[in-house]
Parts: sequence; structure tokens; C-alpha cells
Amino acid sequence: MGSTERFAMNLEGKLNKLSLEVNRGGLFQDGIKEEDLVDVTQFFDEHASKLQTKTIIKEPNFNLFEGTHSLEVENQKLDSTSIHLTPAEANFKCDTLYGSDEKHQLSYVVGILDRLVRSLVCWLNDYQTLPTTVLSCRYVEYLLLESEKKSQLVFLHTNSPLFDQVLCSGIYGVCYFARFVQRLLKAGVIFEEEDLNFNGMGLDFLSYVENGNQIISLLQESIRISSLCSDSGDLIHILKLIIHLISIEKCLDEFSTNVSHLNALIEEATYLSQQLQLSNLETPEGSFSIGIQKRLSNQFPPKSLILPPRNYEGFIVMSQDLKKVLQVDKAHTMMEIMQFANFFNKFEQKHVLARALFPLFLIRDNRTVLGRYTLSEFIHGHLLEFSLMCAGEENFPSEITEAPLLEAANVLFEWYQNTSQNTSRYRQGYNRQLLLWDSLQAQIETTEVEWLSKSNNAFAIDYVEMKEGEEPTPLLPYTSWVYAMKVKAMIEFILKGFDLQVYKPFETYAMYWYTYYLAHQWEVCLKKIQKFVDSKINAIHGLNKKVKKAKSSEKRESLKTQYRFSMDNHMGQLQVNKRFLQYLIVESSIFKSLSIAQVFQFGILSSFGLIDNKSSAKNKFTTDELLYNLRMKPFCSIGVPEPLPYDLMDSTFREFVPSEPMFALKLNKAIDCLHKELTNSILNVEHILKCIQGGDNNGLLVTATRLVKSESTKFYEGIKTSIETLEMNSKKIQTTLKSESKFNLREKYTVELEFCEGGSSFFPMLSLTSHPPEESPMIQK
Amino acid sequence: MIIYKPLDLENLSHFKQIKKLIDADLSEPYSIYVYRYFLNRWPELAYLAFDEEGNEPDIPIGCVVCKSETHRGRRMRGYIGMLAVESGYRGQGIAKTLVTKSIEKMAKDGCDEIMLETEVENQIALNLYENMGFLRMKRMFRYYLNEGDAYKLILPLTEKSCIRTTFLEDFAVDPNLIVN
Repeated sequence: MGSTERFAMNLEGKLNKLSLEVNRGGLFQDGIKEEDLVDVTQFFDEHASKLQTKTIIKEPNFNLFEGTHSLEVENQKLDSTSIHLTPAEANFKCDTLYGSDEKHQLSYVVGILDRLVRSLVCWLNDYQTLPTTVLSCRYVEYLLLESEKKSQLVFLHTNSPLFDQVLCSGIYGVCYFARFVQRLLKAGVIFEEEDLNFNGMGLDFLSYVENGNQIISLLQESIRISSLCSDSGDLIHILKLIIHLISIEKCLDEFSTNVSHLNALIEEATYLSQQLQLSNLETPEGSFSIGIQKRLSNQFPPKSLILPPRNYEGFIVMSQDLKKVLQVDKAHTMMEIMQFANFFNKFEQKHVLARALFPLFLIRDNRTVLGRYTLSEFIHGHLLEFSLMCAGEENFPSEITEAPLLEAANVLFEWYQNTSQNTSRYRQGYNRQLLLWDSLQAQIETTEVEWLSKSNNAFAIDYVEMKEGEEPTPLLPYTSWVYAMKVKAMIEFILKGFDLQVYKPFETYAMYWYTYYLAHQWEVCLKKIQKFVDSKINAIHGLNKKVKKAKSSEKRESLKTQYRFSMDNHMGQLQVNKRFLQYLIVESSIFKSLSIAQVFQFGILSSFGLIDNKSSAKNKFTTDELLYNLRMKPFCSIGVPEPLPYDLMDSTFREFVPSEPMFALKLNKAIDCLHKELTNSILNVEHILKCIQGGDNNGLLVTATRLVKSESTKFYEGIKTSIETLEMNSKKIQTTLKSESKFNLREKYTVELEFCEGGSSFFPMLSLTSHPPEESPMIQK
Repeated sequence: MIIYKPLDLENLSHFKQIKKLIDADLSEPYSIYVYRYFLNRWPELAYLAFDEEGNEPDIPIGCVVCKSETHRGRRMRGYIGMLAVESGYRGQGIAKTLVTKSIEKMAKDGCDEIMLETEVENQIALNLYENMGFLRMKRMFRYYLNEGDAYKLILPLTEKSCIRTTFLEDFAVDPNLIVN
């Protein structure tokens, strides 16, 4: 008999023993008379007897999601009331004084607080749950419960100031910090469970404490008390560390960029990480356990206790990442803010608190950005530093510059918020954004084109010849910005798929082939805008020539004024825009070169029969076309750049596969092309790296990476390493294949996507590996 | 010889054995409700494998548990919820046959796609499904209780699977409501 049946029998036995209570005072307290009630017993029995085996009785909103999160009585894996506690854990008393003398008492208090703060690192840096870390401390549970009853902080009564004052204040400090973490989570910018677990077990985390000052005062008093004991150095450092943890909330409360408390936190953590004697400290038996999961309201399956390692370095990581986020306040331009967001969390996922703080610090509750830009100033600034500066924004009417721009601000905020998401959500965020950018483009483009088609408006803006002999075209500055953002989002979405190992090797061709196409579209758009910037710059220089040629002094003065005004107000920004666009063009060129190099490599491997652009899966349920279309689903609704159909992908693929006749010649040509693209891309990456190091005043490119120099350098260094690896890999493949017969190579080798150490995860190599031994096909989901 | 049968919902011992097989291997502990949710609503989408020549020919040695319903009211989605084969029977293609049978049934019932999630680290499950044509659609950070990431895999059966739900039309009549 299973546990469920046993439980059902026990329950039935207990129910049989129950008798109807005669005095039903509670039921009739509201004045309901017994005769007004209807006996439904027979009705219930009748209907219950008609229930079939398959019938499930449930609340209508209880679905599979709730089901997978539901608990089950007497199921060891799902019933936290079945947790077994040792007598010491079950009977632990917080109001008891542990330790026979002051030395031992001090040792216990240091031991408890040391373990508790290290539990914070397990919770926040290692993504563990709150009940198995911080809430595993019996004192935390006890003090929070007792304080909640009185809506004020209560203290232990052991008659030892070390326990009653010092331990309590340390615990309240940790809980107050947890309250701040809860506040970040509730702001909705990170995800419960996957980013952070705040299973508070129904405890009130000091909601009745007005602010951190009260707790800090307690901790300062505790430092004074501790200093009266001998050998209390470590304890004082732990208490100071907790004070600095509490001070972190100033980053959000006051948007303070003062990092002195974070520096002090780093100092304390560094000191404590070196105190090896702390490892030997004991805690009172039973003071840490999983008992809270048994005692309090628990909506999750039981989880084992986490024993925190010596991990004070975790506080250093957290502090440094928080300091990094605060640096965004030093941005001088929109491009710097944007590049900050683009890089700060890109190469390495930042600490969860830093990721949560970033969007809240940037976009504030008072609907300002960094407290200094209104929403419209913010979006307008982005446009101005990209495409609007060269288009004469004064010419554009409010129907373009108002409502659509507010919509654009919302999409832009989505972009910003996405940059601090965890690595998986980051890609999903771009998937969602594609629709938003596309819809925004349709809206803005319609308005811009309509406006342009009205009489005289077409004459108000510049027209520029894109190629010699071609009809000059106007620039749609608003649409161009949205389009550039959208295409970049499409590229980012695809390349992030390689990072997350979403694609199988056979898909590599289609994904890089499509990335090449997108990078090309992006480059065309950037070059077009740059042409307009050039035209505007030339027009300003032209004014000076006109001044010299002007015949009347009145005309000369007017032109001079116009020239000076443009030089003072426009020329600087135009030059910056031009160089920033150049940086983006170089980047698009790198993406193009690397993508097409991967396509060449794929074609070469394919020519030896080692890989194909079609799935090797043999089944009757789907087709290669459906698989391709499914992969391209995120782009299926996008009009421009138009989606590339399966047939086109398949037919172009054949063009990249060297074949007979003249196979050797074609193969060498493909190898040369691959090498040429890699050489080009390494030159471009080195150019960007040089400009990042040199800063934006170097006269070449504006990368706007001043505040994320290290992060952006790592990103491009990673690409450089990947290029070098792709080059070496290509040579290795050539050498290997030279000595092989062209037939049946698939039986000997497998093509895999392989990441190189320190390389960019956007460009893994197609490596050739000897077949691994057969795997034992054990199946489990 | 291994034989395959659809679930008989009235057979409680089969239910218990399914639970046992799944509980033994799955990282996620499932409550009895989850089993009942799948099996009571979609018994026809649960297949069991039996060893006819084994010591206990009536005890299932493998099972697949699925469901099928509309996804956002616009697409029929089959879902493979659980799959397990007793350790001594692995390596004989039983899991593949069970999955194939369930997909056949779901395809026949009009599903546009089949979806499932599996652990990123579970290379064997990934091999099984990817060799059947499933594509990894997205990676989910710390998806399981054991803190592991997961992939969401989809096998497209019709063109509807390849179009964003936003751009699909609502079903005229919700297929979930069609009894026969």
C-alpha cells in the first residue's frame, strides 16, 4: 500500500471518530438560524457516488503550473512536515545562554554571525534559497517572529550583552539587508526563483522598521560593547560588514553614487576572507537547521541545508558589480549610457543585485533617467546622437516628435531593462523586442512618409545621392534609428543563440548566412546616415566658402552668423556622430566577415560530406523546411529586412560548397576567401580595441565605451581570440582532410560547435573531432 | 519481446508503476496531482511498454505521458510531460518507440507542434529528441529545482508552428472543447 492510501485510511479513521458538535456557537454567531440551513448531505453523497475514476476535483484556476508547484502530504520529497530534526534542532531555545564563560559566548556569537553572513553569499551569489541559507538560522526565525508580534524589534533575554545586544543587532542587520533585496525583487526587474529566491516563509522582514539608521545605531552600539571583550576583532569586522551591507540601500533611496560604503565593504570582506581561524568556530548545536521549513508556512518542497564555504570574496564581487552600475551616472552622452548598458553585463553575468539595481537606478520612479533627463529628452538625445542631428529636426512636426517618440521611449526602456537580464532572459527579451521595434518602425515610418508627401515638406529636408548617378534620397531620421535598433536586435538574438548553445551544428550555415544578411542591412543603414552627416558637415564648411564669395556685406554677415552658429552648435556633434557611426560600421563589418567566414568553413566541411545544412534526424513528422521556418519564427512577421525563405537558403548553400569539376581549385578559393575575411575582421577588431584604449578623443572612432572600457575590451578581445582560433581551426581541418580519402568521412569524424577559452561565444568554431565511443542510450527526462 | 499499450486508467497498479518509474529518475518531484492531471485528462496520450517475456509481464517497464491542448487559443500543441524506461531496459530503443507512438497520436489528433523541456545536462534525452527532429528553441536559466538550466524543444508538424501566435487566427471553435 502506498503512502497516499495509508494516509487516506488514517484520515478515514480519524473522521469516523469525529462527532457532530452540538454547540455550534461559532456557526450561529452571525445570527443565522439552524432552520435556515439546508442539509446537503444526501445531495453530496449522490453526486459523489457518480464521480468517475478520471474525475479530478479542483479549483478552476488550479492548472498544471500550480500542480507542479503543489505539495503532497506524506510524500517525502514534497512534504516539509516530514522533515526529520535532531532533538537539538527541534528543541533549540534562543533565549538560552550558550557558552560557559564570556570567551565561549563570544566564540558562539562570532560563529553564528560569521555563518549567517556567509549564508548571504550562498543565497545571493550562488542562487540558493532563503530557507536553506539565511533562514536556516534559528535566531533569525525567532527574532523575526517575536518582533512581528509587537511590531518592533525585540531582543533575547539571556543576560549576556553578547547575545542580547550584539547577536540580535547583527541578525537584524542581516534581515534589514534581506528586506532591501526583497524590495529589489518586488520592483519586477529580475525574476523570482531563477534570479533570486525570496521564500520568506511568511515572515515579516522588518516592515515596521522605518529605515536603516535604527539598525545601524544598534550595530554601532554592538561594536562598542564588543570592543569591551578581548579577542573581539573578528566580531567587530563582521558587524562593520553588516553596517556596510545596510548602507547599500542608499544607492536606491538617495540614488547616491558615493561608493565609500562599498569600498569599506570590500575592505571588511577582504579582511574576513583572510581570517582562517573563523573556520574553526562552532555554533550552538541546533542553531542552524532546516527546521523552519517544517515549522512555518512552506509552499516549496523540502530542501537540504546549505553549509556555506569560506566565501567572503562573494561580497567583493557583489560590491564591485554594484560600483560598476553606479558608474553609469558619470555618462556624458546618450551613447555612453547606451554603450554602458550594452557592455556592463555582456561578457560576464553580473551579480544579481547589480542586475536588479541597474534599471532602477537608470530609469527612476519620477519618470526621469538618472534623475536628469525627462523621457522625451532621453529619447530625443538618442536620436540626436545618431540620425537626427543631420536631418534638421526643427523641420519635423509634432505628430512625429510627440506620441510616436513616447512609444519609442517605451521600447527603448525595454531594451535598457533587457541588458541587465540573466543570460537566457537576455535572448528572450530580444525575441519580444523584435515585435516592438518592428511595430514602432511601421508606425513612425508611416507618419514620416505621410508628412514628407505633403506639399513643401519634401523641400524642407536634405536629399543625398547614395551612389553616383543615383536619384538623391531623403533620410527618414526617426525611422532609420528604429530600423537600426531593430536590425541590431535581430543580430544579437541570433548570435546569442550560439552562446546559449541553442543551435545544432547543421544549423550553423543558416544562422550565419542570415547574420551576414542582417549585418549587411545594418551596415547599409549606417552608411546611409553617415552620408547625410557628411553632407551636413560639408554644407557647413560650404557656408564659409559662401561667406568669402558673398558680394554684399549684409549677405556676408548673415552667412557668417549662420556659419558661426553651425560651427558652435552643430559641427562638434556631427563629427562625433560621424565617428560613432564609423565605429558601428566597423563592427557591422566584423560581424559580416566572421559570419561569412563561418559559412565558408561550413561549405568546406560540407564538400567533404562531413556536415549538411539539413538535420540528420530521420523522421516522418516534419520536414527540413518546417525546421528552418521554425528557427526563423521570430522574424517571420518582419517586413524589412524581408525574411529569407528556405529555398533561397538551400540554393545559396550549394554555392558555398566546393564541388566537381575543379574541386581542388574551388576548395582553395573558398579557403582563400575564409582567410581573407578573418584577416579583415582581425584588423577591424584591433582598430576598435585601439580606439577603446585611446578614448573618444583619438580622432578616429567614437566608441562611447569610456565607462565600460574593461568590459568592452574583454568583449572585443574575445572576438579577436575567436578569430585567431577560427584561423587555426581552419588550418587544422585542411591538414586533417588532406590526408583523408573523401569518402565515408562521417563515419570517422563529427563536426561540433566548440568554444575556445577566452573567445567570443558568439562565434564558436566548427571543429572536427574523431567519433566518440558509443554512448549508453539511457533515457530520462 | 517488448509490447506497447495505451494506458488503462482503471488499472491502479499501472498508475502506481508509472509514478514509480518517473519518480526514480526525474529531478523534479511531482505531486500526485501532476500525474492525475496528465493521465486523467489525456489517458489516450500515455503509452506503456511491457516485457512480455519478463518476470512481470503485466508491470510496465517504460512509459510516456503527454497532453495536447491549444496554445493561446491559436495552435494545437502536444506536450511530452514525462518519459522513463526502467534502467535494465535502456538501450533497446524503447523510449524512442514510446515517444514515436505518442507523437503519432498527437499528430493524428491535429497537433501543430510537439513541445517539451529537458535539462541542458541531459545529453541522452537531447540526443533522443534531436534525432527525432526536435529543435532547441530557447534556454531557460535555472529552470529546475536542482538549479539546472533547461532547453525548450519543439518539433514542428505544420506551418502553424512556425508563425508567431500573434499572427495566427483564433480557432473558430476551441478544440479543447470538442469532445469527440
